[in-house]
Amino acid sequence: MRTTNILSAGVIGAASVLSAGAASAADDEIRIGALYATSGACLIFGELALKGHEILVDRINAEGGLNGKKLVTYHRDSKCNPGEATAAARDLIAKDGVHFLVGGISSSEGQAISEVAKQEGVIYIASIPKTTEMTDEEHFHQHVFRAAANTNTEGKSAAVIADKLGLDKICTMLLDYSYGYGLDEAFREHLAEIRPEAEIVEAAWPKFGTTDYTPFITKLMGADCDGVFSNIWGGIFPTFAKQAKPFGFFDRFQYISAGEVGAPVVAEQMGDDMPSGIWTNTYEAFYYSPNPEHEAFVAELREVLGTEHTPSWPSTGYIAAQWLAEAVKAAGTDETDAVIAALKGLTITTPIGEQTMRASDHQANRGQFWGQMGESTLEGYPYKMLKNIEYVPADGLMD
Amino acid sequence: MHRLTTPFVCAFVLIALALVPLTGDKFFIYLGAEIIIFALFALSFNLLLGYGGMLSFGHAAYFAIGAYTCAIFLTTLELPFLVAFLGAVGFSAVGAAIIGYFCVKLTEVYFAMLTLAFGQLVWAIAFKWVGVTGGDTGFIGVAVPEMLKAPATFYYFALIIVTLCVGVIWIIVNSAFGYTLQATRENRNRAEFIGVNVRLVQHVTFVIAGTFAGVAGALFTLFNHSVFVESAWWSASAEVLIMTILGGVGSFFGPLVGAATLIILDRITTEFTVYWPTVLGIILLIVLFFFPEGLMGVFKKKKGGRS
Repeated sequence: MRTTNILSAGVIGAASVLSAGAASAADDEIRIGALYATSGACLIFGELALKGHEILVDRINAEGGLNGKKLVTYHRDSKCNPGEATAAARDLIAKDGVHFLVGGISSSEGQAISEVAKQEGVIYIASIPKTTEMTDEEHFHQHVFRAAANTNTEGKSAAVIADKLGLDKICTMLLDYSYGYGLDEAFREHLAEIRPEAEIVEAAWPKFGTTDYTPFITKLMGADCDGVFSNIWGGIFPTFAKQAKPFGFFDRFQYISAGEVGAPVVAEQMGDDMPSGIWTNTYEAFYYSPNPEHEAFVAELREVLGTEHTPSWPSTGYIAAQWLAEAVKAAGTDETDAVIAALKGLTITTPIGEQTMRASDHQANRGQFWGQMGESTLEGYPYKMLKNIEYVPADGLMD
Repeated sequence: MHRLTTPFVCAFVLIALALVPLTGDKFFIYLGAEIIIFALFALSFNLLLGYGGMLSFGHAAYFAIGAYTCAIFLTTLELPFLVAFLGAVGFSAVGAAIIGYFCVKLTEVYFAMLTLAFGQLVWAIAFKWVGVTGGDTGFIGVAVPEMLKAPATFYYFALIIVTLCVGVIWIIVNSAFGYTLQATRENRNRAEFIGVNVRLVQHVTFVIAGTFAGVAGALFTLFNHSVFVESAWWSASAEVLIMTILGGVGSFFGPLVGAATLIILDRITTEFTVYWPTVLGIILLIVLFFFPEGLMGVFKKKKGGRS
């Protein structure tokens, strides 16, 4: 009997803890579930993306909210793991009663959250995941929207850069996982279209998570190509660059790198180790000013983070939340079907310029900022920065 | 005392679990379903560790085989539900039979290392075989039968399957085979001396444990409508190990309690703090130092009984 008592006390206790604070279903709130990893390997991205999200939400609330309602964010650590993201997304909907989901970092997280959104009929705006699978014919559903660019746009815009540089013999060095395959396909396809004389002469596929790139570096050094397209991304680029530099790798090839290697944080982290002259992309750069919204965003970010040089990741969370806010405003309600209708074909002015959400596949026409790494010309910014930045628009590259 | 209270507590817990969907609260239904599935996974693991004394670091492999088989049969091959579910069970049994054949040839740390190696091999196949498994972006959009789509229906389905499995496992561990298995754990040499084919007993246990892990995996697929390679990664095997130790290796129901505790703890800590690994670490430390027999050990001590 005692055991039963202890057990039942335990069950009741756990239940009350779990339900504490549950769905205080106030109708004067618009609840947003934010799924950004704030622990583990994705911490540095997730925290910053969440910061961007919070900046926008705080500003909207300070201005009186949306349609007279306050925006409330419920954040869950998605732990950069699709299983955890699934559970967290469900919790947010079932327990906190969120009306919308935003976030996700890795492609698998994005897929996981999208699946929950489909089952539960809740709108999900993907802020960072890039896999084309999320919005392809097989997996697309009415409740998923993507604010981020996808691998298709990123790979194709890299082909635009390769064409611009006049590269005819190209090597690829893409990481051996779906992000790499997605880029490879898009890059090859677009290159064949815009520069048929160009050929891919060698392909190296380092394993994702590899720490020794030497075999791949030497393989390419011996290959007869004039340019390399790669996706050794921001967080892992420093390791690769340190190993490649002694071989004169970056002097030998025109290096085109996807994966946000041009982000200010990466430049800051690498200092002098950042090779000059490489072509790379970024979500946004604080020193590049497409519009007044961008300047306002950067100023606000500086204040919130207390830093002069602002990172590029907050823009991802900020823009995802902006889609939601503008759609709710346009719909005049936060009712799901109305917001879906409002999002289709919606055009908004973001810190990185005007963006349109395609009605056909719910993909924003998010382009890419490409530029060439060079010495800083900014006072008080002692790291390398992107020069000749240009925005490669997505409109012609999305299909 | 123990013999009398156990059925009573079981009935109580089962009734309590059966009542969960009646609250109408989706959160509890989802949480309950997840706990039920992982309880079976942990219980299957304890067959190896608790009853067989075999520490496997690759138990998630069979969970993943069950999960992927169920997803592929239902979605890619468009087979009927029953075929897909039984296929998942069959494939995880075959997987465990093949891997187990090699693993039981070794003992102790070598056994653990080999299970880890095979576990990672299964992960690598899931990761690389993109055309079939979806690779690292995962297998999503599983064609779950319409009748299992409602959370409450699925919950009851999972509860019935898991209850049946728990019953079968209970019968197994309390059978002559179960006692023989425990004898091999206690003293391999003596067991061999009295004529027990230790390797065979261990191999059969390995297959049984793998099969039930596969059932848990198939249920997990139906629950999430998706499968991800992370479910085969070694940390998933470590998680089930933590569940088992937390609940109590030496007790039949310990892993069930451990699974529930770990999942609930995870939810509470994730909601309130980003330092959930720290919180979890501290709790594990406390359990290991003060309750070496796990949470179920607490009950046993209070009663002064034996297992």
